Amino acid sequence: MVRFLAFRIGQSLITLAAVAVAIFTLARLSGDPLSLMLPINADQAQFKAVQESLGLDKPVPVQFALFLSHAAIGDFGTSIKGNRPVSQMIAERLPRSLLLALFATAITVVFGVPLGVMAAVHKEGTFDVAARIVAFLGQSLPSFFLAIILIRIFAIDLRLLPVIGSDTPQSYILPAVTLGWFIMAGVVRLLRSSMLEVLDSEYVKLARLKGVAEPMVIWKHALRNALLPVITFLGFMLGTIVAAAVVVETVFAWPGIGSLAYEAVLARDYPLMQGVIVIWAALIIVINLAVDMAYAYLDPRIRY
Amino acid sequence: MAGLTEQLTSAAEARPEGAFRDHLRRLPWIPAVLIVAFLAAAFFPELLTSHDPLQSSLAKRNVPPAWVSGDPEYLLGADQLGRDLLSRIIYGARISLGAAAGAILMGGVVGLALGVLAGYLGRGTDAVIMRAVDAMMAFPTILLALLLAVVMGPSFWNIIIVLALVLWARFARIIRAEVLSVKERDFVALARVAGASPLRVMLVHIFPNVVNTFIVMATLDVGWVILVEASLSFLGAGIPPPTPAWGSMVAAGRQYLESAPWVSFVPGVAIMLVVLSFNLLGDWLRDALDPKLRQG
Repeated sequence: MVRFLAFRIGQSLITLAAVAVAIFTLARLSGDPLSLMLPINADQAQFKAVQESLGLDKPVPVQFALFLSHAAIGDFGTSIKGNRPVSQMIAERLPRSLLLALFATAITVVFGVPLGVMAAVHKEGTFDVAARIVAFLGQSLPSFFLAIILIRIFAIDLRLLPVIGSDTPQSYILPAVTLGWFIMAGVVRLLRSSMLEVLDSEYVKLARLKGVAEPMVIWKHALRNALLPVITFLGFMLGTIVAAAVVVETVFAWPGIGSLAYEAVLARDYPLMQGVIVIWAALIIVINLAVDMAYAYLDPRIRY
Repeated sequence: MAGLTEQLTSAAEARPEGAFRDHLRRLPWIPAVLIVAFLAAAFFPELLTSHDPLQSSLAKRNVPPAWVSGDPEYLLGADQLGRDLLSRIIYGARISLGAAAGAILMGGVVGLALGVLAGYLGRGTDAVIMRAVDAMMAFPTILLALLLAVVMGPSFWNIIIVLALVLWARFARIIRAEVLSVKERDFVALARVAGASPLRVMLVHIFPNVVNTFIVMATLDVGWVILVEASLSFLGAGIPPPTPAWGSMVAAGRQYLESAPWVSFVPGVAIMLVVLSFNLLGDWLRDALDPKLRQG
């Protein structure tokens, strides 16, 4: 187990380093931020001064070494546009995104799990049809379009929820539903098929033979085992959900890390861009690692 | 070449007689017809509509669809500049489907090649390719695509390259897994004993056995690629206006959501229909060609 853990952590670090190299290269290719920052009539001296203050006058390999060594201690430099430490800007926005992702996952579990279970128990029934519709729409409805439909219905027609912003608890609902929708499709589909498998197993038959009440068999004996793949899926999805957040946060003007990334890319704010993406990739890598570990812990059949 | 035909015939024989006809009967007709319609729009837009998708008209700004306005000239209504929405959808099909096809061809072929190399050669080659795949997958897709699109500048071919760059890793990963199991089979060992070079083994013995997986993945990914392209153009990093791209059309309609919701809804529904159709067709193709890929 320790050996496996060390191996996986080493692998994750290499992946993260590859991400850092890629993002650094891409950021350098994306054009000159100086021409965007300075007024058109800036003279050579002003140009030089700003270049030096940003460290852009040093050779590229030196810039990269500095970037890596600073990033390792959580220092991503100063945002060009915001003129504040990048780590501070990320720290402000990240909790909002995590909260939104958590809320979206909660919605998914609350609605997705019962639907998946009922679809398996009443195969070919009403719930099964509903589950299939959810699964297909989840794959094919673009999040920005779902967001727009929801805004039109709940914010404009019914005037129940705010269109954008994040000031009130109600303002979480629309972005969270939009984000959760995709994951829900996966949860329902996965849970349906794993429940069908589990319900057909020997120990479920035994539980029924022993006279355990049917709801108990379904919701305790079967569900507990059928949830395993769903948990893995949710773990991996946490990464995807943050990615989908770029679009969703932009539509709802949600002050999270997704919209921060969008702003950074549009403004060619190198330091901010690098910081956001490295933090983001690190988050996804750590989550995947944690899911691997959790899986081994939850399923006694898996031993590394 | 003899090896290839041998492989293909043996694969065909392995399937029970009439199984394919059986599958054909289960072809999802509605999605298939929709796809044909969208393909027709992509190839011959000028035959399907007499409107110019770029022709704006102040008097026709935000004209509602025909069933609301009773004006059959603008069947699906007009957008904020008075351009006919139906013809913009029709011309936009070329952008959406063209970008998806180009990206899948480019990304898929690279992914297929790297997947076969990684899976068959193993060791160092495998490690390098798979770490690159992992790094690719750790990037948030949309953000990577957005960044690349901004770096390279908005144009049709750049969008294809961006999408291909995001796609190849998905292909490489699955194809590699597939190769790992194929290479353990007897005919591969026999080919090696018979003195076939690694290149020959990969091309003649491995490739035909993963090509079904490739076709199924390519179909299943069309929907996904169309979604990513639409998201990019929604965010303003796609093909620049006035070229009709579905995603940017949805974005343009956001301001008129209250007074003229169709400006957003018509292109949104188009995206949904085309993605849904490709997903349903892909599912069917997977069941017919490669049931192993089924994941729930």
